[in-house]
Amino acid sequence: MNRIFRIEIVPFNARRRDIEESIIELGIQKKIEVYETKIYWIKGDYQPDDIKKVAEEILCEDVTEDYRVNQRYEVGGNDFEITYHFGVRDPVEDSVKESIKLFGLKEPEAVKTGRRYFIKGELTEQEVDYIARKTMYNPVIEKKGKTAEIIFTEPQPYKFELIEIPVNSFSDEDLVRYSQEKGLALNLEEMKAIKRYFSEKKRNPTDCEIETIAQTWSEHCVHKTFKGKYYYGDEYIDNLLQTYIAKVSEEVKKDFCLILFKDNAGIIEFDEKDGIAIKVETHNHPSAIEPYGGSATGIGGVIRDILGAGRGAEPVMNTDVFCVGPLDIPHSELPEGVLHPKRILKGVVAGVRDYGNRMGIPTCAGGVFIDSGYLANPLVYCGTVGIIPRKYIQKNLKPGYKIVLIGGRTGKDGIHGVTFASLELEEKSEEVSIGAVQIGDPITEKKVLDVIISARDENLIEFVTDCGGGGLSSAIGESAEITNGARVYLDKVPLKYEGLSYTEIWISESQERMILGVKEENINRLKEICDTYACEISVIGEYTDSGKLEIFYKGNKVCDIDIDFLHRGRPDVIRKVSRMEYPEEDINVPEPKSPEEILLKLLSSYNIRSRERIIRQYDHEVQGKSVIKPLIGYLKLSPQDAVVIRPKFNSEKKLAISKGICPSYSYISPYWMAANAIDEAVRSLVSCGVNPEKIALLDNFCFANPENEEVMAEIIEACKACYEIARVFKTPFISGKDSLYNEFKTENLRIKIPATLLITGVGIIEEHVNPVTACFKEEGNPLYLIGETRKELGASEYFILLGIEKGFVPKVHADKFLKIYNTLYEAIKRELVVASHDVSQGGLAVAISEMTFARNKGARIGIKSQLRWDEFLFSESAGRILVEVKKGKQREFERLFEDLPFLFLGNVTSEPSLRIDFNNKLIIKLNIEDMYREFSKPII
Amino acid sequence: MSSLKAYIIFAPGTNCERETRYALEQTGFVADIVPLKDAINNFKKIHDYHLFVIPGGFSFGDDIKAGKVLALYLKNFFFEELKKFYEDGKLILGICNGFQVLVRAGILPFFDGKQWASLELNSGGAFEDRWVFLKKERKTPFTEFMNDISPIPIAHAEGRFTAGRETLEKIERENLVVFKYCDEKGNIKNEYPVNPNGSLNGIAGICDKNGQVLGLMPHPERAFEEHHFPESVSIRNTGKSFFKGVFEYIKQRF
Repeated sequence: MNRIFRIEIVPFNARRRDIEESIIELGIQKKIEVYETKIYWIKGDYQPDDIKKVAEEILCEDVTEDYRVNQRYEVGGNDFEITYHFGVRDPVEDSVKESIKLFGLKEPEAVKTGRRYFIKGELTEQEVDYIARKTMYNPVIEKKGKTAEIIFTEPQPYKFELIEIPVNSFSDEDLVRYSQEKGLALNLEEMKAIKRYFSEKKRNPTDCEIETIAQTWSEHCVHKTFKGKYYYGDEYIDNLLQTYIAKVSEEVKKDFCLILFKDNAGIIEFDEKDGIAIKVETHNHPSAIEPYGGSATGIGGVIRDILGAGRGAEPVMNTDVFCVGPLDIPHSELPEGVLHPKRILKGVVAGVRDYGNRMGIPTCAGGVFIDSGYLANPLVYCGTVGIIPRKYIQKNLKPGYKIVLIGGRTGKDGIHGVTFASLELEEKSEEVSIGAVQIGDPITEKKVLDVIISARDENLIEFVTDCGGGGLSSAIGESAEITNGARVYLDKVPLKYEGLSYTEIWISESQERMILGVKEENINRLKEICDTYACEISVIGEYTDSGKLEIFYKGNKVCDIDIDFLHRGRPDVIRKVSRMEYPEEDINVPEPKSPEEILLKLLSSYNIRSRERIIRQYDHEVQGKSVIKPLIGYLKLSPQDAVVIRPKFNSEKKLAISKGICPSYSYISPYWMAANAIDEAVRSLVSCGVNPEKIALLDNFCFANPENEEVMAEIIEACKACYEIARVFKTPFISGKDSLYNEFKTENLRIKIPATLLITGVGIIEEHVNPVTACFKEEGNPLYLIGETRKELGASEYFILLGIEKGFVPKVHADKFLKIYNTLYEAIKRELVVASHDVSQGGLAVAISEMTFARNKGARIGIKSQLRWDEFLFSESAGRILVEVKKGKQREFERLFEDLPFLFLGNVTSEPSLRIDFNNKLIIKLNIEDMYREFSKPII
Repeated sequence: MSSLKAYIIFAPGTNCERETRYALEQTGFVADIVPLKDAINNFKKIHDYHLFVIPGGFSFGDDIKAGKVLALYLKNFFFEELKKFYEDGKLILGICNGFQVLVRAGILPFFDGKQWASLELNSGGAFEDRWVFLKKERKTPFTEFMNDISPIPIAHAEGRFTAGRETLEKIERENLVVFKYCDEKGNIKNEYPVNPNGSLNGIAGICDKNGQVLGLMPHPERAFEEHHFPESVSIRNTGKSFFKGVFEYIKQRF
């Protein structure tokens, strides 16, 4: 007979001091102690002796833990149990089941896990509740109760009933209301197009058909804003992507670009044999309400994009960039329904950490940007880089190939994720969007990775794509366009549990699933490979050339739409947008008294201080390919501009990845925000030894609600900058993505994010070039600043520190900069340069300070300039690089830069201090130790 | 071609198998990565090999405890054959997750199938990737060519070596500690970050009484190439000397 056994695991040291610290951070000034135990509930037909064995041999380790069976451990205080909501996948359940089987016992019918907390202290019921919600669990995925009783309730089995939506009789009002009620994110024009289509067919659509169209036409999937038509001032723009982004790649014609703007990722040439696939995605909305799950599934999703590039690429690196609100904001100032930025940052870091580390992919490039505009809408960018044999870069999908689903099972998780991403967040998002959040299971995805790479190498995969936003409906709906048809049998999809309707199966965004297109004769071998790697596989349909997307559930046709309508029936966005002006003005601030104090403050400012606390949590060295790591040095660490890996064990050729992101500048000019992001990404690559001729870019646009004219104008301006700057740099765009509607609204509050463009740069470092790091190497070596310094302090970290919001933002003179970059590359090739660092946030003074840390080498600097010292030292003028030149090579270096702007600054010193004389006056003398104390203040 | 063979076990969630194979191949081994399922089907094949390696990663997601589920597999399917393999004088190596598996399977320190020690959550409370220094505490086949002090990276969440007082004393008394965390000059200190995870006595790696089985938290395969080493570190041969020791030991005997 099946019984439920509750096994509570009690660590000898159950005290959770880390949670106690978080409670103090909440501002609760009481003496509190927190204890935690783990609970397993096992349902099965077992004797007490069996359970004793399970507890002692599997669940509890007597070296450090004790256990109780069906008996509650007590330490006193207020106690409660946390378990997952029904339907949230807990991978530990499978591992426990598997372990019990290994012991020769019957497999349990069900296993659940949870944890129990004890809070000791004089607290009210409300305070306990508040503390629990803020520090111990997330109500979006977990529930709290004195005892978790109803954990084994199973859902009702699903009974088939075809649902038709009577759109043909809907008025315009009805159409809009229906779209809103169902969270479809379709506007009236789009709903009318659907009505027209089905009226012509003389029938009403099924719910599955409407959902399929909503997913396919969602902003997330089809980028309708970027593909729209605009009257901008007196200009007419048809398709922003085509006009400004893809056009750069067409014009600069770089033959190292192998796959551009199609497929799941851009692919560039690495060498004759292999290509590099790269993709950057965002996962903003889910991360706002459940940071851990949001970022984990964000990184999981972009990894699948790389697995789904060509006929399968192998991930070699992850990247992540987070934009969050002020980390020191008091809890009392947070709008209702908004998580504290610190909790968000800790959560998203932990999500990327746990997913990326378990996948065995080094997360080694990234950044964190802090601005009050991200308070309610944090941005979470996740990227993955992969390597793929060039013979597998072209997909080859034909009618008749089987549609194969591999990986995780399908549940109710993540339903309506993409349409959720196409709406604004509001107070209640935390409650209404529960279904839109998913929990990642990296080990299942690792199995998928192992299967795809093995199967690809046996040439069994003709086509592969990931099941991401929109689930099967997007993955199959989009690929069906290639063959012009598909037939899918939804009852063949393996489910996590009973109770899913056909439409839920079709649009579920359950993670860790991939769709393959496979020749029938290869199915058996593919199944064997899946068996070897313990990965689930199902054949769920076939691609056709019928012109139709046909879906069946237990013999019933539930969807029959023309591929042509699905992919070409969407009405275009046509809008008029007024041209906006972005005036800049000259701002003069009174001369500050203490240069040293300002430098120290800048070094510890949240946008500049060390990211060590985050980077160390990532396994940035797994795969053994790292060459230049994100932190350089051993104990004291200098930040590095671009990271470099050697993606192939047997090749000296290297790959460098950089990022450019300058959202503060968008408060003054969205155009120059975008221009500077491009320059920063390019410059960071060149500064470590990449050939400027061999750089490709990725664009990720994150903006507020584009239905607002001012936001739309920002988007257009940023797009123009992409075109005008990148074409001069001759850097093609190879892939991009956008995330819009990053806006938070309540009745009396609107917070929009600053216009944010993340540029990811990717470049190759040739075999014969030695990459250069950003720290001082040897005393006596001369230091130079390459490029021109102007009074460009608008939205600089210095002005932000002073609380000034105006001024000139840095301008990008791409043609001049390119000459500088080409010359610097020559200098690096000739090994004249031994250290090199791009000058960005905080300006020159910060850049010099950062270079002193890794080897504890100081610098003695003397500058003469027309500018005032603070203008010179803290200006963020673009196009500048600080370099250390080898002793005895000055002449050669200076000759090389003859016609270009450069300035001799001084020398590296063995004395561990930084001394700066400005116009013959000593203004800064600081020990490295003192600077590092500020710089290394923890970010989280 | 060399006839010395290394067997790298590959479970769901294992993720350091490639770089480990690369380091072994560069050292002269023929190294095979064997999926767990294939290993279970025919583990007798292990006797064609000379070195059994459990590489780093998160086997089975480190669910329940790090390395726990793979340790149960090892106990269930491989224990007897591994014992024979060991009695033939061959070597067993567990790196990071592999060390956790060896301890939980009762192979280290006493090869008796009982878990005596544990690797618990780092005292810092989270996963950490950083370079540390190791002090060589005794001779084993693995350490023959290593310097007394070696720079090497760690990357784990559960690496705090723990054991009861008596067990710990026995491990020290029987000279089973191979590596301790130390600073650049070789001083063993208990403070962070010299001891990066709060391990008792600064223990980073232990072996069995014959020195044939080694488990260690740091990753010698990630300190193998010149370019792996951090900017300011001048000793750059940790991984190469480590694997050379293994290879030469086996070469002399088989």
